[in-house]
Amino acid sequence: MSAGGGGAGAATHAGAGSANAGVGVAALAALLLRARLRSTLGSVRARPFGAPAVLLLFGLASAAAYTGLFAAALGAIGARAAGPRAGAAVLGLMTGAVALASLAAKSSGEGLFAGSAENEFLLARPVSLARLVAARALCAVVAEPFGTLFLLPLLMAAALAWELPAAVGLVAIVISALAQTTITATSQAIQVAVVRWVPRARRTSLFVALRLGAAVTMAGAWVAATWVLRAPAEVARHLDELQAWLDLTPVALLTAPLVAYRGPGGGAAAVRALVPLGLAAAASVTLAVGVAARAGLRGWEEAGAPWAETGATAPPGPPLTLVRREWRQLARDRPRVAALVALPLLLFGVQLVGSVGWSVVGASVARVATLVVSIVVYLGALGPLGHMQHERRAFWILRAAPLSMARLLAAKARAWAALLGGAALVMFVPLALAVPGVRPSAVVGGLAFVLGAAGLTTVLAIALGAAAADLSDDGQAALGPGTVYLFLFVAGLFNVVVQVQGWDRVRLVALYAGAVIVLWRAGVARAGTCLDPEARAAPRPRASDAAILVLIAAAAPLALERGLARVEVSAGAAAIAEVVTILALGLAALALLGVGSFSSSFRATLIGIASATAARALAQLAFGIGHATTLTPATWRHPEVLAVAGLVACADELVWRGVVQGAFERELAADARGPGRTRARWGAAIAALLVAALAARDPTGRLSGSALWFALAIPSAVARAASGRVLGALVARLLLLASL
Amino acid sequence: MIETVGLTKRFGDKLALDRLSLSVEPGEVMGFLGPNGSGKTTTIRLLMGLLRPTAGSARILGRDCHADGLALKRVVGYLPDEPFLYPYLSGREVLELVAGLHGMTRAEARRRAERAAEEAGLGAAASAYTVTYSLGMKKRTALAMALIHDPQVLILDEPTNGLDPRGAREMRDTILRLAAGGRTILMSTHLLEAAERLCRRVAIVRAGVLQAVGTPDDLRARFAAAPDTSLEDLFLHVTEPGPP
Repeated sequence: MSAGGGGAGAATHAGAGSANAGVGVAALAALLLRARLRSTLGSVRARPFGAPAVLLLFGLASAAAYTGLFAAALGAIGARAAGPRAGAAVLGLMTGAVALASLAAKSSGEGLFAGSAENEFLLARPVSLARLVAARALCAVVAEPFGTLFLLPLLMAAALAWELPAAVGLVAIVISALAQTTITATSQAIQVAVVRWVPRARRTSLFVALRLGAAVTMAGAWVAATWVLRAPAEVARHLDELQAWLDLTPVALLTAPLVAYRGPGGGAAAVRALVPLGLAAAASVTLAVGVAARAGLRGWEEAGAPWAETGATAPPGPPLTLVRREWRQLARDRPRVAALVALPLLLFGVQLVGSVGWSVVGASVARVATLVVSIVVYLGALGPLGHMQHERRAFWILRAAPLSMARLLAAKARAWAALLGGAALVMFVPLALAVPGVRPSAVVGGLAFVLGAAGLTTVLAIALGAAAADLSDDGQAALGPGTVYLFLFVAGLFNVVVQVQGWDRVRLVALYAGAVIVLWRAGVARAGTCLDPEARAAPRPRASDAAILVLIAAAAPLALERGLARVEVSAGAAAIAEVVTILALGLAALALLGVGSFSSSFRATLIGIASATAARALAQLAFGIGHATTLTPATWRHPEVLAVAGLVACADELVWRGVVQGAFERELAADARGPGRTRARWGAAIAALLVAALAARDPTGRLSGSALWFALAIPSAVARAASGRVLGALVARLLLLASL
Repeated sequence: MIETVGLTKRFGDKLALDRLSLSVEPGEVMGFLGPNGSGKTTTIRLLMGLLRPTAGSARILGRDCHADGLALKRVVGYLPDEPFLYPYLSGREVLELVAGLHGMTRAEARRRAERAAEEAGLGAAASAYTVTYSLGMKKRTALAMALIHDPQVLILDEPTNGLDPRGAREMRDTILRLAAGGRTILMSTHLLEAAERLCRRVAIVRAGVLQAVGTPDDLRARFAAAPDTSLEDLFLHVTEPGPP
């Protein structure tokens, strides 16, 4: 390392040349924007299938889905309520709810509580707080796509529903950008004011209050959305009073340009209607700059580390055990306690004022149980799922102690199961007893279910949290959003158990029990190596991958079936939804396996062909089927159907032979060679088929379909076991599909 | 050049810095010594305008560190103890960003970043994401960031903290060269042997209170120590636990 900045002995201290002019707001915004975009691109390049890329794809897909859903809802409302004001009222309701939720969420950022390393990095340069605030407000339009994606789909949906020309997309983008600028600037002004003028001792309470406010507004946006989507007719009845109320709020600025575009003025009127919104954005930036300039008049100080807060001392208490440690840490973390208490209240509120209505939610013990389990799952995401994140800097203490990981995680599970179980009990019993004409046995049965679900949710959360944790790098979060969503999805699907009967219930409980054991083992193993950066590279497919896919494959179609039955969609739409589910699972399996696992193999192809041919001959011999081929001139007339059937078959093979059988092979074979390896492959084939049999649909309802599905799986499983490749299974399945 | 008068910082009930009055002469390298939690980093962050003083004032080059902080940052370079780097930007990109924050044109920023990366010895790692950097590499990059605008004054917070012996030696050599170039440097450190070699004078703080300031010989004379008493022994004597 040599002396920089002109070299040793040559320090002319000429400053930075043009640097003395300082960096302006536009230049600073451009610099921040460039850094953010490069950083995002860098993170995607470094981990092409990592959280940033997945989140971006998820965000885009959600935005597209929201656009479609709201376009349909706005169309339905338009058909029931006459006049352009009706559509404007609905659009105003939704954009207002989303904008308010976005503002509340942004205002309650972590920076209020613990400062931000990036702020300190930037403010150690010749950059004033006021300029930074202004630059961030400008930069957020592009650098925070999720903020923009929140509002833009609604505006695009309105444009679609109102059949406006494509050019209106530009107006929608400008509205969204101006709204985003306003929201970012206002939220920064709030944060700066809180950090500068609210005493440290009161900041925690205010932070909690802001967080609660954010949750309430988010719940409000959700309630509004469910009303619009589920009950457009009901919404249409109240549009006049709604519009009169909305006209008095700033929300009118957001909808005015699109409403103007619908009118006789067209594009010119829309542009004119953008002016007030632009002025509002400019005013909010000016306000934020003013607040920041005032706050930073004699230097700016970040919120600061917790050690800089008031010197509260720990009250005396009994000696810590592993379980008590969890409770004590939680009890002293006020924001977390507040979130855990507020969440059930908010969700109950949503049910009370939501479109479904309490009369439906509280109509039976089963429905009450479903609600309680859903809330317990959310509590699981807020509580036990983040256990590794909460002790990321102190985990070495536990790791260095002579204590097995299984014991440590079991203690965490006991501590949280008591809390979640207690919450479930408190919520369930009064609500269940309030169900009209309820039988005591039903309450007892429902209570057993919700307590079981609370225990399962806790163990699943602890296991997934431990399995996802990577504490080798302090700079990265131990828990990513992908794990949170996965947990919510898998744990939430457990609700299907209460909605199904008989064999379906038995097999789902068995599958959940088995999967939780597998995931627990994976979590224990991972927690033992979470401080090792290389341990991330454990080969796939893992048993935990297979467990999650099996659960989703078994429970998601049942949940989908019940969900679609409630909204009375056509049989065609239901079939499309089922196909999409299978394809999504196939894509997930493909991502887990990696494209590299499909390299061409003559041997595997040959084995696949042989397996399919043998199966076809056997079917012909035993059942007399298989004389004809699917690929007749009649079927060729519908190549799209053939293509979808082929894709569904491939997705199925990727899940069951690729991930599930592959994971069993990895588990059973371990380091085996020669005959041991061969035995493991065949053992894996049998085990995967048994699990597949358990995951198959209700035999009383779908016997023929399930039996055929299972029969088709056998030759594929044989091909995979004999060749050791997924390719063999794919070839066998596609050939059978074509020939039976 | 650097001057604090009665500089005080209170965090809630805790007095982190108590009426610190200190001056560093132009072209001087001053070591800022003290046990953990004694107020060294707080002082440095006050000088950089990253904390607001509860009382007192801090001036660099005659300018108030808080009222005129923006202008000061154009001529002061700062190396934090735990430098923040954007994980998915390369070292070169971070340097370009910092040069841009100093108001340089893109071409100039690129030229300076290239030169700073080279002088910091980043080599091929300049193109790698900083998330892959070792602590030593991060410190080198952060020092290059502190120097990119050719500052007159350098404020270094534990520049050798966490570095291996070779890295620490290289950092010391770099500081010596910078000092020889006429820069004014205030550096906090725990490496007393390095402080004795690098610094003309040292200031010792304990529990937020300045205990002693002067050349090592001055301190030996003041505390009636033998001429061969090491700075480490002096430090231990001055910072001995007890009422400040």
